[in-house]
Amino acid sequence: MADSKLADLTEDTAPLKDDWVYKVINAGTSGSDRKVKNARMGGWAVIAETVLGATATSVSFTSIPATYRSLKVVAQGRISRSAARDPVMIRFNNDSSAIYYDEQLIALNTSLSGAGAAAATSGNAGRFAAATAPASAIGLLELVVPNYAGTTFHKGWTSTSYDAQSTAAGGQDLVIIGGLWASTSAINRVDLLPSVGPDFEIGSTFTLYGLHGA
Amino acid sequence: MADIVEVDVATGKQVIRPLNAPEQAQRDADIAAAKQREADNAAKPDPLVELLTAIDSASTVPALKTALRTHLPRAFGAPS
Repeated sequence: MADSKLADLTEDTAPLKDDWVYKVINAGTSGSDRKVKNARMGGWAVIAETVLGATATSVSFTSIPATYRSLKVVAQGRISRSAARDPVMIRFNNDSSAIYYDEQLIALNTSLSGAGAAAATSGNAGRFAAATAPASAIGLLELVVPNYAGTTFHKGWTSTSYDAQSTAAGGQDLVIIGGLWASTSAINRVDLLPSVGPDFEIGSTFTLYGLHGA
Repeated sequence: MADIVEVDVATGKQVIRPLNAPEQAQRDADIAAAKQREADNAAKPDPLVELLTAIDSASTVPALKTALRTHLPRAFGAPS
């Protein structure tokens, strides 16, 4: 938001909200006696979160409002695949047409490698540990979609992800991803799904954030 | 049974339900495509190994030049 002096903020008697900042100008005793000046704070706000109580083949955030500047997904979990790890894929607006593109920089111990995908039906979001990784080992990712509600340009994302395939030295991946969904549609739904899976394991956590602006 | 977790952001409601037939078909197609993509990547030889093998195999200077011109770009990340 633009910088504001408290003296410039609007006067309000509305119920207080947890993502606004207030200055009380009349404490009053109750209801409309209370007068405050307020301004919405910038920063990330939790839109929704799910912690899996049962295995699931995908997690879907639907009816996402267009009221934020950017979206962010933060996730942590495991996948049931009989392997050390499995990619986590992302899909927008339930669109499975072949218009996803991504590029990955992968660090494994001292080795760096690259990978890319073109005209895919979903995009790479990161990696989770899978069934042959050590017990309780996880993968995690933080993925940002700027200007998700815009309709002028295609949508893109960047993601940073880490997963533990083993507890040995060099047994962990760090992956940096940039991706493109070649659509100008505003994003109103985000799906996350294991690449092969088939399932996200119990306890996997997915949180959707929205970035407030002025 | 494959379940999807749907979180409706507008209402805050969370629903866990089985995939319907089109969703299951899409999921099956996704998994098949992912396995094929991984198999394709695994079948690609390591560019650096290819380069070293070609250098080792070159017995003349022209053959060495050809080997370098053929394999060096991909070993340094050029698209194949």
